[in-house]
Amino acid sequence: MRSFLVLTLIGALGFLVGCGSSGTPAGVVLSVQLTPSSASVNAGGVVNITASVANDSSGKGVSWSLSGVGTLTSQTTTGATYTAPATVTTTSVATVVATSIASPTVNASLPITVSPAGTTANVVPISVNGGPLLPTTIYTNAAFVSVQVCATSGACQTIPDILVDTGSFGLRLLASEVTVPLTPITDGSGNTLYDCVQFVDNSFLWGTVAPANIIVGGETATATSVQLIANPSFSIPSGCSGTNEDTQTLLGANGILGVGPEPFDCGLACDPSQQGQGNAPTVYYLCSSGGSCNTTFVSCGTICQDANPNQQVTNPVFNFPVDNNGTILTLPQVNDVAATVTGTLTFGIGTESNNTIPTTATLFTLDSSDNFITNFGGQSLTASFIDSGSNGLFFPDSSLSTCPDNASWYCTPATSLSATNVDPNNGSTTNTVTFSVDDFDTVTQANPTAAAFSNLAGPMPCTSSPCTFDWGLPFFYGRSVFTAIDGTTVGTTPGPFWAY
Amino acid sequence: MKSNSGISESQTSLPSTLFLKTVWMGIALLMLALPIPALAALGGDVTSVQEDQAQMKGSLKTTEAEAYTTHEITAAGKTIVKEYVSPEGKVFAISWSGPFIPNMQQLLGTYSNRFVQAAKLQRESQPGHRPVNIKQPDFVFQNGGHMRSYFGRAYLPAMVPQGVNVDALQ
Repeated sequence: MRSFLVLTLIGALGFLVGCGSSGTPAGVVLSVQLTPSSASVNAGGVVNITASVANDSSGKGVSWSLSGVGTLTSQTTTGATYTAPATVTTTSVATVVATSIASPTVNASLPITVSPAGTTANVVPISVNGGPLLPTTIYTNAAFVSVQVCATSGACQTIPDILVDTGSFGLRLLASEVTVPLTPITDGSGNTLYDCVQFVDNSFLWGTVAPANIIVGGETATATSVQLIANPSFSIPSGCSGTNEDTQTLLGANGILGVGPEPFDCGLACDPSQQGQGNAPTVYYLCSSGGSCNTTFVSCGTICQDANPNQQVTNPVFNFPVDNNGTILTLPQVNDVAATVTGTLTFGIGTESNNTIPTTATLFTLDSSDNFITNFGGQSLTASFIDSGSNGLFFPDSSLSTCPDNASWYCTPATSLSATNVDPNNGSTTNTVTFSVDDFDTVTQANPTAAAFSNLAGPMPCTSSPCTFDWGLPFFYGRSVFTAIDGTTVGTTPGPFWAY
Repeated sequence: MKSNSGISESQTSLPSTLFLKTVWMGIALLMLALPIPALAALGGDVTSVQEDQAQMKGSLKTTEAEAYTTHEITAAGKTIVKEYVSPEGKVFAISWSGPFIPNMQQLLGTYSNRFVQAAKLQRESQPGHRPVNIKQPDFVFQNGGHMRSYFGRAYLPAMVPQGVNVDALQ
């Protein structure tokens, strides 16, 4: 009985195929699936790929093509073998495409990241080196990384001097530094999607949103939305106000790699499911070529329970096929001042032999705003956070004087200060940190070419609104700081959390 | 100074049966607000609160405390803006907290240029993003946080009502 039914179904499909002009029966959707769906290999490595075509009643299978480095051999209608070149000088990406023979408009692609022999795919070097404006301007206490950006057509470029920022989410690049053809997202009615990131210092980043393949170290985030920072030909909407940091001089970097504890720069608040809650936040805009802009909602995909694919600017780590639950940022100890220091950004937590959380570390879960509690000077600072993109330690201390020329820094030295970080959810996990404060003017003027200062600090407002201890980059000196991403897990522990 | 009862009832224009500690007035005030004229929030009259609220398309809650009135606006994306109004009807302080930074040019009104200039000087003195602290004799501005969690305040020291601790505004 069962075999009869199956035969009948196949017969029906065969009839439908016979009627279709392209060989695809109406109402039956062909699709190609590749195993694996993405891969990372070192030079000389091999990937065996298999293809299956759903609803391929003719059983014709697939044909193969390759763009980028390497070779594709042993090609059959169901499989092929990719071999990486024996040597590569930098991490490269190859794209294997399998196309349905029965329906040539249907295909699937597999990005393969090829790393030089001897490198570890999930580790990338970072450098606190003063940034790209040297020697005229030095960007102190900022960690920089190189990122490879690839158009979906396969063309890639490496962009250096990108700020590593655990206080934001997503990759933002100066459009002036991007030479590969990235195509901004449009709505099909002539409007282009723009993103606005407002900073606390009356600066912002404005630019189009475009999908790109992002390679950091040996890891690849495919079709991930990035922001391309540029001033448009029209007036930027008033909801995005201040100075657009659209040049290297203004930004002090070629871009920002946001690898903090969230997957998206806006998340659910910008998802179309929130339309009933009022206007869209002033983050995403659809703008006509004439410059008429309106805020808009943009899907954040599966994790937001949205059936439409995620198009928000996305933390690339979240989109890696593996090692995608967080990062470890490691920098060496700095005793007051160092000319430069180098460290590492490691991808994944507890996913490889090189990224486990040591038993000596303390793990802090976070509140709904991704903050924890810092107790300092008799104050409970309930909106405290760790942020590699802040280039000092910032906290309220009325006994310290701010600098006469710049009230954002302390100019009173202090030693043997201590603050205790507290898990906001259990209230009992704690860790006490000791630190010192230098006179900002004195130490920076005495070391005009140094990039790393462990004791730079400034004030933070402490009002009836939440009070904050901002553990900026100096906190990372001499530590490995683990940042786990919301929506992922480390073993059985859900993100977001910090551990150090 | 009023009595020491702390928060007292709000808006005498409402029927006495509605004498509540807090009163939600969102839709009514939205309908009253006209298209945006020149904005003046900090240092401006109480009417500028309604302009801010209309601009932010938010809902408004009003609370009367000792010596000042708090107008709380919830803007798109759930950022909360509070505007503190003196008995003379002037906005002497504002604060904000939430996932998105409100439009400072609008909230700071005539003090916007002071903020823009001071922030520019600080940015140009050293690259990088960090909390901003602007301390001038007659204008204080503080802003901090990280993506999806921002907060700060601005106030006019000379206009803070007598006896009010600006660090303890509710």
